[in-house]
Amino acid sequence: MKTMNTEVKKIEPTLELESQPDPRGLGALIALVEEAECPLPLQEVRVRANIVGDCCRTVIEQHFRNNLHKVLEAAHIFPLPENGALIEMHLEAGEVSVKAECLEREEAQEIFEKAQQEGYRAGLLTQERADVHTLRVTNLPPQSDVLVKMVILEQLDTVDGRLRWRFPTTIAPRYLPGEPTGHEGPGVIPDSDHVPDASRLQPPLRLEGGTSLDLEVTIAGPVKELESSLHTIHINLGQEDQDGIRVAPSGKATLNRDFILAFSTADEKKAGARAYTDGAHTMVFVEPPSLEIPETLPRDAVFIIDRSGSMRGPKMEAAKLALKSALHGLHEVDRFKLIAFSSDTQIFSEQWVDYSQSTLDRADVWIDQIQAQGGTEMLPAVKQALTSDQKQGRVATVLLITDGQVWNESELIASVGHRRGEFLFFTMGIGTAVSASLLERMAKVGGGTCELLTPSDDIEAFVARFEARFGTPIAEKVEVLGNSVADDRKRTLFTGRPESWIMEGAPKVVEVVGRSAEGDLKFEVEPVEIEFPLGSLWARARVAALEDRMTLNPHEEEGLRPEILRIALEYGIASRFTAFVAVENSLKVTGESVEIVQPVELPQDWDKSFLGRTGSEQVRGMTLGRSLPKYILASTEMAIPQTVMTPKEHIRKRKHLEVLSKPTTPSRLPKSTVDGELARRQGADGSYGGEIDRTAAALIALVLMGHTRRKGIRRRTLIKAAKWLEGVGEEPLAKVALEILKRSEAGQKPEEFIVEYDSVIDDLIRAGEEGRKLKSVLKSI
Amino acid sequence: MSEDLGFYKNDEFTIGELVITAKAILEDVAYRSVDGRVAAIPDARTVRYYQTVGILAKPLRYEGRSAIYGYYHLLQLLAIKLLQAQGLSLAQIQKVMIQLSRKDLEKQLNIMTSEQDQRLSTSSKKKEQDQGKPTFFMGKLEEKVLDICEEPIKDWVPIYKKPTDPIGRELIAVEIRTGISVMINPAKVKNANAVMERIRRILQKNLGDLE
Repeated sequence: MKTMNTEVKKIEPTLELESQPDPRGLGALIALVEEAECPLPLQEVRVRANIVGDCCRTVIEQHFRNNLHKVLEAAHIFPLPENGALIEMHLEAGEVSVKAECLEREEAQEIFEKAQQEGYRAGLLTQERADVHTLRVTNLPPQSDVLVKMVILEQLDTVDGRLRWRFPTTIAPRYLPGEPTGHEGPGVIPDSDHVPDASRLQPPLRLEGGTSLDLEVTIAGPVKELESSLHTIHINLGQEDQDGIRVAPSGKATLNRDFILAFSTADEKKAGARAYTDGAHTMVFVEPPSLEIPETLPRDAVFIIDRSGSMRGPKMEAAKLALKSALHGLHEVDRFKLIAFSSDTQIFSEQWVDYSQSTLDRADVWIDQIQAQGGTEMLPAVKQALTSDQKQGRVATVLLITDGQVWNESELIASVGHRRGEFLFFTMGIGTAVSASLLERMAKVGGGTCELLTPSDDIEAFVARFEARFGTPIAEKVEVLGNSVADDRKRTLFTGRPESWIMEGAPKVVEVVGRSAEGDLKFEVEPVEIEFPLGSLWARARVAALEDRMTLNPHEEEGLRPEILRIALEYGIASRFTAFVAVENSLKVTGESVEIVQPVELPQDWDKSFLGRTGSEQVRGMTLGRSLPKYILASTEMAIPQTVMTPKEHIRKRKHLEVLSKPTTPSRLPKSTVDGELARRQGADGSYGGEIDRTAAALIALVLMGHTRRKGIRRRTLIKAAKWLEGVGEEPLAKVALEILKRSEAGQKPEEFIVEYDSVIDDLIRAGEEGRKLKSVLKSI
Repeated sequence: MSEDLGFYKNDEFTIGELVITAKAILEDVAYRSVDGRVAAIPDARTVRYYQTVGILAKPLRYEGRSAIYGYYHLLQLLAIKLLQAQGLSLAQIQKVMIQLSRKDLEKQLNIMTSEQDQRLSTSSKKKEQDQGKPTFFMGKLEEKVLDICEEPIKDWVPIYKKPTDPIGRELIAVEIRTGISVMINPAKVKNANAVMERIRRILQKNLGDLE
């Protein structure tokens, strides 16, 4: 252990409560409140992220201050990006800086406790879950500061052509299933028979104020477009001769929602494989080809929607809209089931329901009545979905729509993982502080994808993009050949979602094989050399894969635990079995001490009744508000919709940067777009009310918005509408509509040739709601 | 109050008992307030909510599925309620409570009690004058203490026709078992509710094999 050899000083608490005159009884207590300075130890979190290609290095600084007149020990339970490898920690107090050691968890704990008793300042960082960490700093003298610096490396995900960087800031109140068994940890919920370490996971809820977040992301290389879905951002394009840009929240931000950045770079990623190596490790990506949706097998689709209390407000409405959109995307040959869960499970129908106009109408009514209230008993709902009977020649899919706020991660992952191969399990996480680790892992073991969205996103467009993946894999059993691949599970490849592997060594050529509908898939690729160190990313991916294996096969723990520990120690990364510890022994403190567990903020889009005291309903340790009158709901603060502030002159200088800008006024409910609404209004048979003019009007409106049967997010809607129109026979309106569609698909611009059809269009704009939609689209072009 | 709190120094409570005990102590406070209105009573739900916001410590341990609480929790619960009565919001209380040790709490609650005893020794006329002033047991208390327990606590059965002493002063009466009641005259016994709660606990423990 590195220590500083400065002279040991003794610091006594300068002032104690005893010494204060106290004429008003509780006066001393009240005086504490009135003091300007907040007694909560965490003052600020500073984040500096550096994105290079697909990788990111992030430095996180947590600044703790002891504002009390006693010695302080602070504990902070906080989230970090779930795929990040935590590789470094430093404890800094004034001029003194101590680098932490990565040791086996028990050993680190012992060193920390010894320092704690001896009166030395020390820091201990443990990992409780892939995304939940605990930092303890002890023996902070009165009125002093300490800074804990952490470094993480991670690989970014790509979704629909855009890289996504997500930085979580708070741990939302998650539901604890099971019966209490004890309470060992510093958290506010007990351990339970379903979650034996729950008492280490849930930080107290902060009732007022927030810790400020000073965050800045630097992206190297030319950026084409950029979007932040939960923060208004400020962009600094830097020097003329530099390619990097810097992005930061433009106002004062606190730790109350994720920071999400989605961007695309100028270098187009072609379908196929690419690989990078640092000389010791190699990273391989497979970019799926963007295929036309093939005519697939009929689907059996189970939809599970979370209606627990934590979903209340904009999240629930967004989830219902997403569910309806996904349901309407099915075809007439498909069958479906709907499950809603909170404290109990509610089903639309015991048996499979054939997709038809009447069942769709009934399902819509059923979805409309869903209200958010009660606990999060997710496991019974997932189990129920997975026990549905299987049929040859049909594709079985499950889609789970939730905010993921539940603690029994292992049980859920095991229940999905054990049915792998029978179902494709997809997850859709909604919210500003989604429990992403759970949903990513469930999708990973379930062979599907995890989609994350926020209530202020364009839900229908999001679901339309997702539909290209839902139940229609491009290739299966995709793997990188070689012995030392960190996560060697075979993958399923979906449109818009590249897969990545990381392996030891630097082979001349990497081979990727798999199976697609057209036959065997094979790529050979030569790795390109890069400077970003890949070792800890390899170790993190390996540990994650072994942890999943341990979750699925608990009897293997004895063999897997030492293996995880060995890798984590060798590469010096945080894991369930390793911890970082730093002791600073230039200073010894004595005197009365107090321990504070830092309360954390409720995520921004949560119903504020969670903070209320009366009328709150307790569900096994977690508070859930009762349904409240409408006016309270309306006053719930919405997530700020994405807006991007860019100095215009900079944009002119940098033409390659296209910034997505969205309305500045917060919308109370999820947005609905014209094309989204048309997709949702479509009948099960592909028509609109079984009427030729309405269907033709809808089809032409979609074509005018740039959609065809091959491109755009409304492919399914158009395929279905065109098919119906083709089936009505020699009807002039149908013929015109199909002709417009075909000309557009042949590459002609509809806004240029549409004038040729003026006389027909004049009739069509009077055809019901679809006609009105067509009229509004015509106006806008 | 300090002496009475001392009673509980080595006691352990289930969540229900913790609530009943706090209720008894707080009722004494209210009993001495000007119009005898019942003070803030926390219920079990509220107690759990206090835990989720970190102002009530984790239980001492679990016995089966039941959490067991102790003296420190009782002090915390009383302090929360008394601070609320002072007009503090729960958010303000969070900032105070989070940094208090058991020693701090004990001391603060003692100071509060002695202040209350002084007040009791003053004349009734003085009491009327004090009404409306923002001191702890008067005026503000009546306005600020709002969360009166909606549901009566089940294992403490009140007697519906209230008994009185010969000059018409109301007595506290509690039915310990069917047909067995205990009465206390609050005009003659200090901290009558807390005393009653002690008696009830002792009797119920020892009457176990009576039937």
